[in-house]
Amino acid sequence: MAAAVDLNRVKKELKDCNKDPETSGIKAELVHEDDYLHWKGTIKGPITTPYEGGIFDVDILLPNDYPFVPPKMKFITKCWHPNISSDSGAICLDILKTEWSPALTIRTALISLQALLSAAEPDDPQDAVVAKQYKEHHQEFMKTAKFWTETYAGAQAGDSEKLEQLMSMGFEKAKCVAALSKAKGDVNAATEALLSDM
Amino acid sequence: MPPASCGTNCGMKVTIKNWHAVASWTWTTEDDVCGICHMPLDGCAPGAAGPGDDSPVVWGRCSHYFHLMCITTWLHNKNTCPICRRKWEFASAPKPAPATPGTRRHGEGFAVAEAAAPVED
Repeated sequence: MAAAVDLNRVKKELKDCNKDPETSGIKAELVHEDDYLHWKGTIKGPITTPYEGGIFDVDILLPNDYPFVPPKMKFITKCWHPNISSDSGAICLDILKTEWSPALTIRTALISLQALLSAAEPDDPQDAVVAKQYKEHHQEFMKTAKFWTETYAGAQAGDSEKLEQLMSMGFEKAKCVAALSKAKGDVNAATEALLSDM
Repeated sequence: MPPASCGTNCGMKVTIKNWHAVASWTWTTEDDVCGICHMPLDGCAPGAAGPGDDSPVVWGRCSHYFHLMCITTWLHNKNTCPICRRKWEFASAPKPAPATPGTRRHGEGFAVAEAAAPVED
């Protein structure tokens, strides 16, 4: 076993993580300057998923035997996902446990987390409640995941979605558009206005 | 340095009595860094005394290669190739490696450095 973390590799990895944040949607930084064993990773929620628009922070601790043992990762940002604990942020992902290999890096692990957001594994859940909802009430799951992304990960609900939300209550499109623009995009205020208008 | 005249055709002859040749060598790999420590294969694995013979490169049957020290540490955890996850088995260096008998060190399975050119009188 290595006695201490190989800082040469770790420093290279930090650079590697930040080489193309725009295209990869991955970033990382040290939590404390000069402590290369404690990182904060950031993942952009993948498009066409309920996590789209969200920014998810991940706590990363490198054990002394890294890279011969996996980094310890958990979500800091709350996330509604079958393989992520809605309570603690703990992650169930094979490469962070038994399938780790020293050829993997923090960057590839963060990219794997991004892929996990795109493709959940409900049969190998970390959060049984979320996994059950995912399998049995998928629509409900999508809504909750999106709501959590908006609430905790800073995603803005798009105008078209807000409009759909209002129209799903049975209001005419024209009225919804007017109410939404009068309420400056606030769905709740627009709903109230539409209801009081009836 | 060939025996040469002084260039102005003055007829002076130079005889070389002794010379030291210097050769450079490299591991016969396609990538330039070790997949485990990310340091150059020609360089030094973490904890190795120095590059070269103190930090040899080894091949697996799967044709992936690493610093000996790096792969050995990993094999304590799991007997697989870190890159392809196949069972790790040491192999000889691939064909193009210059496996001159006199320069083979560390026995089977290890890459061999090109020998320096012999010293000539």
